[in-house]
Amino acid sequence: MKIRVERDGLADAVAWVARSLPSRPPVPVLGGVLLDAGSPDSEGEALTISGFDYEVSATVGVPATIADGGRTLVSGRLLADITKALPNQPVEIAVDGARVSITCGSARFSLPTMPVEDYPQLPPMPPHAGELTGEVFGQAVAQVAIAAGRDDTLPMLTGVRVEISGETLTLVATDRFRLAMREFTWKPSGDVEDAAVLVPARTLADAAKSLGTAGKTVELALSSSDGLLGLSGTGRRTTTRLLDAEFPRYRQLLPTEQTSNAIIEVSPLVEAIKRVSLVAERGTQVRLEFTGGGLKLSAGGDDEGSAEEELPVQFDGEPVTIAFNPGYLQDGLGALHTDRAELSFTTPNRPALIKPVDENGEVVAGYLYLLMPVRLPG
Amino acid sequence: MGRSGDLPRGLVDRFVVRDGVGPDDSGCSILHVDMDAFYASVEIRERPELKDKPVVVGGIGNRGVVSSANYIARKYGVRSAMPTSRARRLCPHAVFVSPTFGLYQEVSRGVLGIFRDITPLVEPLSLDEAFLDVSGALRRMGMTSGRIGQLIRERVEAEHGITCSVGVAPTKFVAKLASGLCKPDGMLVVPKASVLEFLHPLPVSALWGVGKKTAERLADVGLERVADVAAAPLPRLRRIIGNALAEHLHPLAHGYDDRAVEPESVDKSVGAEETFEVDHWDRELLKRELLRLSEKTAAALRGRGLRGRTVSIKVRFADFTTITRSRTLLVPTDVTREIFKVACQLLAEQTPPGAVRLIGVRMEQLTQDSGEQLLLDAPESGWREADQAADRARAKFGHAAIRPASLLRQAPDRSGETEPRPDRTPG
Amino acid sequence: MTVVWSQVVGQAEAVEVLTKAANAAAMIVRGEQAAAGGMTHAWLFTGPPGSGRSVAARAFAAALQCDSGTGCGECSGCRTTMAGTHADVRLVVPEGLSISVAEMRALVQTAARRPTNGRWQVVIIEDADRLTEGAANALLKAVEEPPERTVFLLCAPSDHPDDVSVTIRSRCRGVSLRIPPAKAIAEVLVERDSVDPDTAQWAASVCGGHVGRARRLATDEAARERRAAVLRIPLGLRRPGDVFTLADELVKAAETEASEQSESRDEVEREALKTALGAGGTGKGTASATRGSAGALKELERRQKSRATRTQRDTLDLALVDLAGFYRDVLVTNSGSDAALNHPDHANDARTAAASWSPESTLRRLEAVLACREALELNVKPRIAVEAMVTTLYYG
Repeated sequence: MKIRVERDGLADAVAWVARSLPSRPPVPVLGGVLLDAGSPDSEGEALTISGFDYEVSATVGVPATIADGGRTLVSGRLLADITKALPNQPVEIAVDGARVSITCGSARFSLPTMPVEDYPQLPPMPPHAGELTGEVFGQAVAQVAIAAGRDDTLPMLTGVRVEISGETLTLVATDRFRLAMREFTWKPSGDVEDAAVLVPARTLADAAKSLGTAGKTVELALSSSDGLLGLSGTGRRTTTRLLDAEFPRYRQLLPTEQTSNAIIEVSPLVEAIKRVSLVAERGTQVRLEFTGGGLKLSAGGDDEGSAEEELPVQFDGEPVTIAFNPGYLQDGLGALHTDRAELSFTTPNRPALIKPVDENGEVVAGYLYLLMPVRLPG
Repeated sequence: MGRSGDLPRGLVDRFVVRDGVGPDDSGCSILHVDMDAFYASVEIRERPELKDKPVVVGGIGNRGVVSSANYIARKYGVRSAMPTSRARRLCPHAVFVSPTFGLYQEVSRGVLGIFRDITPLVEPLSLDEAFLDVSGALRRMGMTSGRIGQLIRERVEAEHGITCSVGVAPTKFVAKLASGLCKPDGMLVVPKASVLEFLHPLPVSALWGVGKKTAERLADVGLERVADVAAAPLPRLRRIIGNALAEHLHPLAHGYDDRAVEPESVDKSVGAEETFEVDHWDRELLKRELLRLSEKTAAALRGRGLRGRTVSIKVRFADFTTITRSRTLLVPTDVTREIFKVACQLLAEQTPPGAVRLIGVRMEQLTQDSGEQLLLDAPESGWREADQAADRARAKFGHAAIRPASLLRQAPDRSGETEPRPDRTPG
Repeated sequence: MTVVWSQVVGQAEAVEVLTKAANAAAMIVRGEQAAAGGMTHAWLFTGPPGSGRSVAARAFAAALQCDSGTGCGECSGCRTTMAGTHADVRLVVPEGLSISVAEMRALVQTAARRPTNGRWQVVIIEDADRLTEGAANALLKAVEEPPERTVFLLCAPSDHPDDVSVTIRSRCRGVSLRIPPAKAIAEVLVERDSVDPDTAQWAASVCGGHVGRARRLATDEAARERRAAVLRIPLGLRRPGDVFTLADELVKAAETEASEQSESRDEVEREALKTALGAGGTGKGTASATRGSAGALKELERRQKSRATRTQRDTLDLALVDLAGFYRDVLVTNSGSDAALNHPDHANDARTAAASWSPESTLRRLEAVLACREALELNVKPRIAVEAMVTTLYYG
């Protein structure tokens, strides 16, 4: 292999691929990045750079002038370190026996190669399913992924469910304590069928962050029979293995009617929650007492510090006293992206519903955060 | 206690309990229970063919030391902490066994469980000995402390297949001395009024804190018996053995020891277990028993304002192999139904078939009950409310008042529950 | 025979069954109707030590992942499977003496997923006899209701088939490997390892059917010398003092052999991992690329250490098998039977021994060797077990 590439494209590509490499590779070759120049698989892109950890694959195409095609495998860390420090000049990469040489201006480097024939086959990109803007996708994933569980012994709760139903895309996640759901329209490809898959929340969130750049388009590729979700945009492609687990039947959990609701400013509420929960032990609940007169927040009990604060609130319905895990409550309020929120309740032991509210005081459709309260002792 | 084993027995013979008959035990609320040759006994229990042979448990290698020896081996002079090589010379035909500590811990937990059935005031000193303060239990169970000591000895033997020795006395020091003087498999009661009678004829080495050196120093000035130390004026004693030790020994020699039995402060786990009179194969019956034990455990949790996150079951088979299996829940609980559900899963999925001798339920990873994070897919179950109502009824009418319906059938035969049935709290 | 199957030495019947299954599996992948009974989701490979259980399981896995479905040995599917890097092949080698529940649960979870490359998700469990009871239970569920494209390949020594629970055994299709014939071993040594035919034949005749051992004896002078030393023991015991000297030699020889094996392997692995983590580059600033990799290397060292302990036990066991073989040879010589000797190159020694020992005392010696193997399996310290054995070998 002997090729010439631009420094910037190379450094960005290597940095992005190397980011997804495992820090403790289960087999050494997984610590490598695959450089593939001019092979039939690279679909017109001169050089592809790929990484894979059995779960997630990442591939970027970079324009290159190819003198000699070929494939080689080098340490992702080492290549990333080298490329980020290169001067802004064309870079020459050449394989020479068991080593790769990199020349850029007056800088010269040599890297040991790893056995490329032992490198696992990269999963093929599933068929195209549709597209949406990077901005919408990035925000939606972030809004939902916060509610996913982190306990790997309950795999069905560590994922984000992605549902395709015609022009509507729905993302949902729950850890059984709360549930976040986002619905929006997108552009499905002509022949995509309705489908629902479960994607590991952590990898989806990472991918959305790196692909969800404003102004760009993100493409979704899906084949539930292959167990893969593909995401691509701006020359970057990633595949992730789907979780093969049953997601809880969540629609029946969504409350149909609430007996009281409050509209409140988000940031004063978040600040107040932080302050009152400071005095109590970590993880202790914060109590919310809603009445027509306002909202009283309190935390802590008799034998420890206790704190109270009051906030104005627009409240309709029966007065209610309800307690939440302060972290979960803040997660929900923080995911709304509006100045005001609607909180609605039935009883202190039933889930509360949190929704975004716009400047006109109207609930913004498309997002909801369902939160289970903490039962007060006694 | 190796040392008291070497004390003259004849002096204390009249305090030994024989056939349930012993001295007056009123005012004796401290028990010291010591397993006899603990590690060796457990090993013999596992391999009954060793029963009549000298058995030495210890490091087998060249630098190993003896951890425990049965009484047959002791006859040859084998003692704890002696190099294994020496033990081999003293008793070459002994069976030498490497220790299996996991097993000893298991047995120890079980034995401590028996103690805690009787009183929460249990102070374990090591795997094989503990102090108990039974003053509260005396009133509650309507028994004498001697009778309680007897009960403990019976249960330890029936449920764990090993024997222990019990010292019953008004103070910790005397109780510990007493258990050492009736080994193995004995009980010795020192009535409150006879403490000095018991102590004074003994050599000074009987006093807690007197080692070989101190004993020599005391002997040099003619103090050989406990009575001599008691009679010596304190200033003189101070000159002989130093202030601290003198002030420690003087009250002991007079029978004074005001140290209280101090139970471990934090509960690490709460549970209950049952040993059957007959071994049981029937899984349905075992499940019923799990329900009863789950109920007991949950009630104990609620009683202390605790919740547990890990449910474990323990099953001992007819051959004494014992397994424990556990599973951790998403949220801590104190609800019978939830504990029972997991206990049943553990029995069904992770317990091999076989005749069961003992079964137990235990909750670990305990936290204070400070509000419970509710789950989205578990709409108000109502089980907690049912449990709480049952707690109230039990408090009012006693244990048999409220039981889950499936327990109303005949309960399996049990050993270890002698009449009148003590109102046991799970330990 | 294709490349991957040629690694499975002297097992024509097993290879035939597995090849058929791999063909059926390839048809399923292509969406064609495969003949019933061709492919199964759970397999149990049994066979005596050295017969190549895990080699056979890996070869089968390679055939399942092969682009052509045959085990060509050339395509990426075959190569990465044999190299242990295929994304859809999980290999479980118990590190300690048992496989834990936690390990098994994690495995069952990965096994439940669909293969990344549209073929099969393969899980190979070496030494399934070392599953703890809890781990076996965790596995059982997956074996009972395997996901559509998941295949479990369990391996267990045939001298302990009972150590794999009946329930699991009953859910698996069995593949029993036999002791490979000396001829087949000699052939593979000549073809694959370029050993000269005479040495190959000799090594095959004395290796007790253990292919790896044959290769070592054929290619490593030190290994040959160690075997000779072991076989000198029976007639070398002349004075009581010899007991300790020879016991010591035996244990040391095994230790040396084990550490030689471990060292070369460990070094290669360490270098590969270091390279992956960024070592070995030249040029400005490349030295700092390895920062933060100490943890991964430590982890590797820990695994290597626990593997070394096993290697040590295994090599000592092999030496004991050689020794037992000699006493068996003496009994065979005694009986005048013309059964093949384990150590044809030591037939003279066997005759000398047969002439001077009673068959009963030879039998006692043989039993002492077997008892020693058992003791080692129960974790008795090697030196103690071996000394006890050599004492009996001396007194008879």
